[in-house]
Amino acid sequence: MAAPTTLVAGIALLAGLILLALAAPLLGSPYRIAPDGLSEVGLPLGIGEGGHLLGTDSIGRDMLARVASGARTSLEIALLANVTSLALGALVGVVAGFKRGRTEAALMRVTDIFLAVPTVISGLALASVVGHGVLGIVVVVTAIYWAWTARLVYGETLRLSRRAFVEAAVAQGVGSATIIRRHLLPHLSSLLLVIAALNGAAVVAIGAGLSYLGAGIQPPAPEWGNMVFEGQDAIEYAPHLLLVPLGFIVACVLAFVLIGDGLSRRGSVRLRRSWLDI
Amino acid sequence: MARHLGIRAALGAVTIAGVVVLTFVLMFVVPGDPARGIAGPRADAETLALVRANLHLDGSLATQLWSYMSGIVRGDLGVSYVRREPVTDLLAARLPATAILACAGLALSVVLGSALGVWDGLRPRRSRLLATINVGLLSIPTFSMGFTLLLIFGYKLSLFPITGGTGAANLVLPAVTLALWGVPYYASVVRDGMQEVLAAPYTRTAVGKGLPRRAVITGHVLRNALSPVVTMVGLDFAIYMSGVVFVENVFAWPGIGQLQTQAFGDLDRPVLMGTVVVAAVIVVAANLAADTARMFLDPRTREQPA
Amino acid sequence: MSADLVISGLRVGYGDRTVIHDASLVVPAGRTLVLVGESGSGKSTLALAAARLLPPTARVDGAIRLGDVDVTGLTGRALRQARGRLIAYVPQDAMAALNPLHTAGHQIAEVLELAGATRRAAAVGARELLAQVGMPDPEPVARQYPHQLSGGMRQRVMIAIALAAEPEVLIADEPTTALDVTVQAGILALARDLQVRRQTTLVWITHDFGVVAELADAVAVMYGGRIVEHAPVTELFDRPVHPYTRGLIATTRDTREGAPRTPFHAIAGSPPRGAAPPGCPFHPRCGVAMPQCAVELPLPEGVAPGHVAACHRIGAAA
Repeated sequence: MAAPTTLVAGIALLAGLILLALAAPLLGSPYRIAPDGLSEVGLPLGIGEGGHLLGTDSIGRDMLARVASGARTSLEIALLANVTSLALGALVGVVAGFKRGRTEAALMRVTDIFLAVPTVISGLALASVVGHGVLGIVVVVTAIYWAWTARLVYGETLRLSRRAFVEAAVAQGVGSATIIRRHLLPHLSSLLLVIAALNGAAVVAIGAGLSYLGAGIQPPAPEWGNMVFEGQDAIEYAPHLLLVPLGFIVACVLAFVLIGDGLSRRGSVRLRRSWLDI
Repeated sequence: MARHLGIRAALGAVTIAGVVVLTFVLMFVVPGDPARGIAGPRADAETLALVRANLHLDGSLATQLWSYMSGIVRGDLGVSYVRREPVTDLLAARLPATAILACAGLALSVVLGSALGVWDGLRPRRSRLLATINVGLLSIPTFSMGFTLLLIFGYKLSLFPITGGTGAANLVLPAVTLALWGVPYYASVVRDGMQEVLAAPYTRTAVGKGLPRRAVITGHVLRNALSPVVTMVGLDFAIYMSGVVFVENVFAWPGIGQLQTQAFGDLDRPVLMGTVVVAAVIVVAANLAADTARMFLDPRTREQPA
Repeated sequence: MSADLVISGLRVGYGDRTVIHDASLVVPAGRTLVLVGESGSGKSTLALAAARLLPPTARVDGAIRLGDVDVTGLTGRALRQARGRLIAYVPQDAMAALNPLHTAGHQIAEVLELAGATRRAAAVGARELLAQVGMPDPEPVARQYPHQLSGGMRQRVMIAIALAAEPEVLIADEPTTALDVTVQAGILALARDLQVRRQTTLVWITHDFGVVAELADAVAVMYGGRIVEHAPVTELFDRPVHPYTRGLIATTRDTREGAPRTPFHAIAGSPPRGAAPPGCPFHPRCGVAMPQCAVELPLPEGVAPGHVAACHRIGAAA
């Protein structure tokens, strides 16, 4: 896909999800059990049945209201966790890459510690301490993801620090904080933007994943991940209970991935050349 | 070369120690009383004191940390609160299953991904279809992918078993789920590598020698484009293991990922910690293996530390 | 078996940009032609065109012939077989042109194996070639990787690779520009020696007129994608015609001890980029340009036996 198309598609998709999230209060309560929400034999209503656009779940709650509310939750978490992990990671990365020496070694050691454990495994261990809820999952996700940003920013800062304009500023005795603020951050901004987008994707995925596993947001609070978990049991007779929230998770992640992909390819349009063709 | 690897191994040990300390400290700050959780709400003070002493729940943070760390060196990761078995035994029983799954998925990812990357790299124009599929596959979180495959191939088409087990038939869907994340990733990496190598001056030299196309590809292009993949596999191992955890849960594959999830549900602190430690050791070992492989494959990395 | 290398009406471009507008020259078999010019003059492109190593996006018109072989027309198997054997190319950047994952010996032996040698024979042959290009102790060099070798050694390895297929023509593109003077002297001595021993036709590209004096039988001067002067070396130094050539010669300084100190001379301005202005490509920088020079392109004319130049001043008092 050409870069602009990808970017536009991603933004459009994300905008749609944001609209859904904003419309959530208008779509009814996700906790309310709809009258006639279940069929005569007590089974959930399927897509489009009984006036429910996305059907109902096993207790008779409207699925549309639940996914919309879930959208709100997921996007809230995505925004918060993204901002915090990005800020923390960028800070550590820039300082380590610019200051060098012992500060660099210490900070990179800490980064390595956080990168050494697979995200889900450390996520579960951490969640057992932090507990459920939005705040809890934001803390867990930040703790898991800041180190990736730190490493990427560190690498780029190292490269930037070697450039003449940075060395000139150092030679002139300009303070570190000023150099970071005025010289490094502007050049890092495009990288940070791409990281923010891909981070958003990862955050939504891991948030849903942890909720699915029992951490994070738990029923009856609607969250796409725990809705998938609840839908597991009904997989044979009401697969939409599983597939609807699954579809939204994929859509949300896809939106961020498209944005990230579109942003990262904006600058580089290289002509392919292969010496095999001469 | 050995010295460099020795340094990396030492750093790895430091990292693992750091993981242990950090996790232990965090988990020590658990609200609530685990002793009561084990002994039951009707236990008297004397029973509680006994449980505490048995599980070393009294004593300062430093004492507990020290006894835990010296335990690790001896291979002792404590005892599960819930199952009353040594954590090491629980993990050891489940490690082979995880290893089989991880290896199967990885092999599939790397081989298929690299093949696709090489094919796409050799084409005059990159394949739009492949690029689109790649973006799509990368956007589907592992557990979502797992469910979709389970639904289609397990339930609807009944091609694969839908209950847990470790037979070969049970391995297919989980391994494919893991691969479907890895394939687009490695395909992109290899494709970018191929493009870079195909446009490199040394490829022109090879062509200029009069080597046939095939010899240029096998002798010069492939090796230069693919050797970074080996390193990446090792360095990406942490991400990969997360995927393994999800897959184990979706497909009821009895590995350490499933154990960790159960431990979370039970708030079984020793198991949670033990799994963290073991996972860190695996990841650090994978990184070391990647470093070693890189030194073998790329002579430029042999002399100085990277 | 030696034949003359004949380039006629060569024109090379990428997209709508023309790098070589019109180049014609003859290099007699077994002689050394030094091709001189600034960056952007098209000299590298000419070399790559002769070696059939231009990128696939290049458009090539005109003819390059070696004896009765039409080099520009070769395709497929014939082209592959001709590579390295008819015309071999030594690039400027040896580090980038060597595969970092193979030893020097392997990269030389590869050419020999292609010609039919067994692996063992090729390995031995590679060491012999390294000795021929001036490595006193070829064995350790053969076993090392490019990043472990010095610049001069890498360049010799590239020359060894080029020589391995025993080419009729060897084109070297500024092989000593990135090396220091003492190393350069060694490579030049090697080039002279090779020519004497193997009777290879040599085309040597440089922007350094000092190299011209050391190496050339004949000299061709390129500017703005055209050959502006071509003459035997002594003739060129005695009677340079084109103002650009004269400027170039004036910029070279005799750095030997005791030589008279001359003021530093430079040619003002810079070479043309993109579309060339009408008329003579050099006229914007030419100190003696006439009104005609801005309008009409001067064509190469004979000045003396074997000496051609493209300048409107040839008729007028030079």
